[in-house]
Amino acid sequence: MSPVTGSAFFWTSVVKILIVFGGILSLVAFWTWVERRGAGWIQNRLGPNRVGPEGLLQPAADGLKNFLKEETLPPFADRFVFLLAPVMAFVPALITFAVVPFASPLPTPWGLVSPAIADLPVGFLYILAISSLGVYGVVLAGWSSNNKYSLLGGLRGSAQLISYEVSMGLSAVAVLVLAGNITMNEIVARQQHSVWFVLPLSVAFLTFLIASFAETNRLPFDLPEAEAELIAGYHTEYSAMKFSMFYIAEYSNMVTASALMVTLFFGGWDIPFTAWDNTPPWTVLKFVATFAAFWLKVVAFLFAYVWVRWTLPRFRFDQLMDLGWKVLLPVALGYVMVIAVAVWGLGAAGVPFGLGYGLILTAVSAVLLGLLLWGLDRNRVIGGSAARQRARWLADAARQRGAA
Amino acid sequence: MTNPSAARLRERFAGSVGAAAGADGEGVVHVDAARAHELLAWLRDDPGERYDYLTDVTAVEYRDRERPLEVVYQLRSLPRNADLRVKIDLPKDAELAVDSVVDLWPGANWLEREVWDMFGVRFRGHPDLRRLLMWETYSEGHPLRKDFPLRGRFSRAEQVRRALGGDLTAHYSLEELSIAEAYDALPEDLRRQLAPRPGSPAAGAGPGAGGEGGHRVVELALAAPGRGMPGAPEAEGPGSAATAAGPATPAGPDMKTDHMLINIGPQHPATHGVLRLVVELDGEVVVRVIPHIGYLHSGFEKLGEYRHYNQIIPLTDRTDYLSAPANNVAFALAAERLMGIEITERCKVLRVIACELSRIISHLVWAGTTAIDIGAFTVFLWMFQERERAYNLIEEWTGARLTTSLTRVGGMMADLPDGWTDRLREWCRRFPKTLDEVDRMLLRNGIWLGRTQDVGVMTTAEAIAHSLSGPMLRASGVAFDVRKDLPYLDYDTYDFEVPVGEHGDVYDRYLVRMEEMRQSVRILLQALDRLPDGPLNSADPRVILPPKRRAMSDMESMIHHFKQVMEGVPAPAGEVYFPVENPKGELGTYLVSDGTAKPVRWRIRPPSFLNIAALPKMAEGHLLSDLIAINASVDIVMGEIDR
Repeated sequence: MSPVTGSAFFWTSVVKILIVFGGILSLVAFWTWVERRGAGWIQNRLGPNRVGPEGLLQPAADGLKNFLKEETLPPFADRFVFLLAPVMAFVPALITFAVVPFASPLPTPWGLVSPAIADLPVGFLYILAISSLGVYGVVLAGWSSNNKYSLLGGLRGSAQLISYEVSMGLSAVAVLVLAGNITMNEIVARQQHSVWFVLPLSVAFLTFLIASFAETNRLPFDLPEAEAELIAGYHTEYSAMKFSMFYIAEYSNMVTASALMVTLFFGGWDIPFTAWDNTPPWTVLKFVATFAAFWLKVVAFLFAYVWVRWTLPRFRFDQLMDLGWKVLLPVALGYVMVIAVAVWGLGAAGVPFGLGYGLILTAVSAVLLGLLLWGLDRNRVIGGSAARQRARWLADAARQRGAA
Repeated sequence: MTNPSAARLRERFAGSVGAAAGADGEGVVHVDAARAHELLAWLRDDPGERYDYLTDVTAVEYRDRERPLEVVYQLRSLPRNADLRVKIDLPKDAELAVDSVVDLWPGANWLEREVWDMFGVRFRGHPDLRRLLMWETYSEGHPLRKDFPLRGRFSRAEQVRRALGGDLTAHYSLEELSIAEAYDALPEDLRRQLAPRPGSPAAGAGPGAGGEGGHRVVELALAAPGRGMPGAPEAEGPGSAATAAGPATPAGPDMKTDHMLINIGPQHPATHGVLRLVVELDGEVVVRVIPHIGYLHSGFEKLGEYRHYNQIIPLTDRTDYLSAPANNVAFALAAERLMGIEITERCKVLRVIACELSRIISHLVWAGTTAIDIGAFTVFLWMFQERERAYNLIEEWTGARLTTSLTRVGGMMADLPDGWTDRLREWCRRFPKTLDEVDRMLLRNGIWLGRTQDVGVMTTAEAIAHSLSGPMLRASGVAFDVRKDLPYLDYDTYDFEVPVGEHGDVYDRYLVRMEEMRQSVRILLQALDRLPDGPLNSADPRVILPPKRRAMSDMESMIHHFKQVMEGVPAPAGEVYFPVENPKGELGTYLVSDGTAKPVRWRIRPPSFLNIAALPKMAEGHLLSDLIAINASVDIVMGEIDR
């Protein structure tokens, strides 16, 4: 079956846009509920459970509230930029998703419909380009509010986003080296024929994961907001829907980042341990099954975001910068070289791309990952010193008692 | 019994040492104002004395107009574990001024500012003698003076009018004006005001002369950048602080830096109340931090002078409102020592339970809020859940959760309800599990360690010099705990350890407080084991009301009841300083009586007041995020700081 063309292409694209963006926005709304209920679960409390069954309609109530609240416009703010900033945060967060394939192709009477809104040949470059625009929302919001806290938040945000953008891009380069292509569909296809790239590229996945937490401004990287220090930082002065748009942007960024991790490292819409879903003929059943597989993986990552948020404390700004520039960047850079050499070596040795190829790289990466974690940890991060300290106190106290 | 130091003082400073008295083992020495500074320095440095710790500085004015005003230095020798009270008599017809001891003990900075603010005693050579609890332009006088009416001199409307009306400087924070770089940005008329005006009454006078109008204070503040860190001790000549440096000249172009001034508070999620921190930032680095307090000032000490001893107890609830039972106990103990009342064994044990329970509650709030300030929200809620359970116990006992008013002079407000001890035991069994869980959450977390270790370090010497107390002092390596070293309520018979830190950073403060909670559980269990039956209240008919039934049926008892409630219980003339180990640190209650039913002076030595005064010392040079973490680690409660 051939891909759709002509006006059918136009109409299927419109439908895809509506479905994907409607779906993301619904997921975002739903996820605010999950986050709050998840927080309640982690914190031994209930969370919102009054509106609708189990509080499921809470997001709707919040949305309504935000529409009805007063839109404040501080007199000292730069009016145009102040209004522009939420949009600048909101739009890139949504349109980044356009190139992510979220299922197997769908056969229709008019032809085969590609699973991404735009199956761009330069898909990954598009993602890098558009997701970088999100920083303007933060910076402009912080600057135009004419509030010192907001300004600090905006500055922190821009420094953070730019720093981690680099590591994020570099860790994705490893994927591109292995995939040999920057089209998202091709990256998925390569994983279907080998192993999911999370195994052969585990170090890249780790750096990408950390960088995407930083890119989404989530704990432990929520410094631009840092309510204890900057009182919501760059969006201190925003209210009602403008404030809401920052929130939607944050959650949309989470969805997009999760979708990217799924696509780059977890096989995209691939269903593991079977080749049934990878091969034509494409059927509606395959579309539905792979669609579900994709979103299940995304939701798993989204839950990780919630889990981490209610577990970890916040970094300090210099620690954040150190982690970004002194750890993540060299690691990602070095890893790209290692992977490039390994891929070249495997090619020279004539190992065909497939399962064995992936497993060899997995072994290489596992060794590197072990070294990295060992180097980072140094018995400080995981060991902790309180138990030792307490033991020493009690021993000292016992000695003193013995002496007296 | 007089303190042996008094004899040595008299020997060394013959003629400058007046009457020495002793009350309950406390040494009191009256000294001459002229040589007081020299004498205090000797007391600090002499190897036989070593009074290295300044517990408190305050003043007393008696109701008798003829008696001189007294400035009181409460000293402690940590190595010798001895206390000494040095008093300077200031006749009211002469100038009320003494030499500042900030150069000896940096911790005296805020204490002396408070005395200046409240009593109008000028401290010569103080680096930054501004009002502390009242606002800088407050012009009604000095509230704790006896001639100051309880309601103040001006109406609220008049206060607002004076604070804002027509005075340009009132619209700018003094620190804003004090950044030399900001000078260019000020309006023209304000710059004219700030420019040096030779011959003006302000130019030649130090603080205290004339009114407390805005301009002079502004000049003082303007001089600040040239003086280095506020709070640093400086050996300037008396009275020179305000005038020697003069207003800063506008900075030249090469001096132009982009320091930013932000106000953290008084309304800010991380200030734990209405603390205001004026922070000068260079990027994210804190260059200067100036705490402003007084937003919650309620004049408790003034109110106390108009109340009977038992009527003061509700006020103590509202000072450190996170550990109200412990405050109640502290006040009752001081009043009982003043009146010479022995309390019953059961009362002692119940008070220990109250103190330790409130220590745990207070530390739980501290741990939770510190965690949330560093970003760990979950810990906050876990801690608060345990706190709620503890508050349920307190509520069952006292009927109130926050303002318990648990004690009475000579006894307790209420005995334990039935089954309470079992519920406390059950809570003591379950609660440490939450502590362990929080420890697992935080102490194995690299981010938490990175955020707390080596942040806000106070060395042992600095901690002592700044008069820190409680967990703050112990985290810096000083093994001083009032419960162990100056035992009260038979604390010396309980088996518990005092955790002591090594590094004096936020991390050690965390460890110390977490361990204190575990030790408090130990004390609670021991107290429950030994809780004796028997009478709750002392049998002393002076202070204990007759039972209601007898008061309603027996004429003698009714009269007694009436007189006691209406006239109060007179305390013999004398004074007492009673320190207790409160959750925040050493809570001292200094009571002076002239033989009437109302104290002449009720002074609270507020631990978190002194601890937060060291904030600039701890935070300057750190990052903004660290400032928040350090401020949280101090464990402040504004009700106590502002009183």
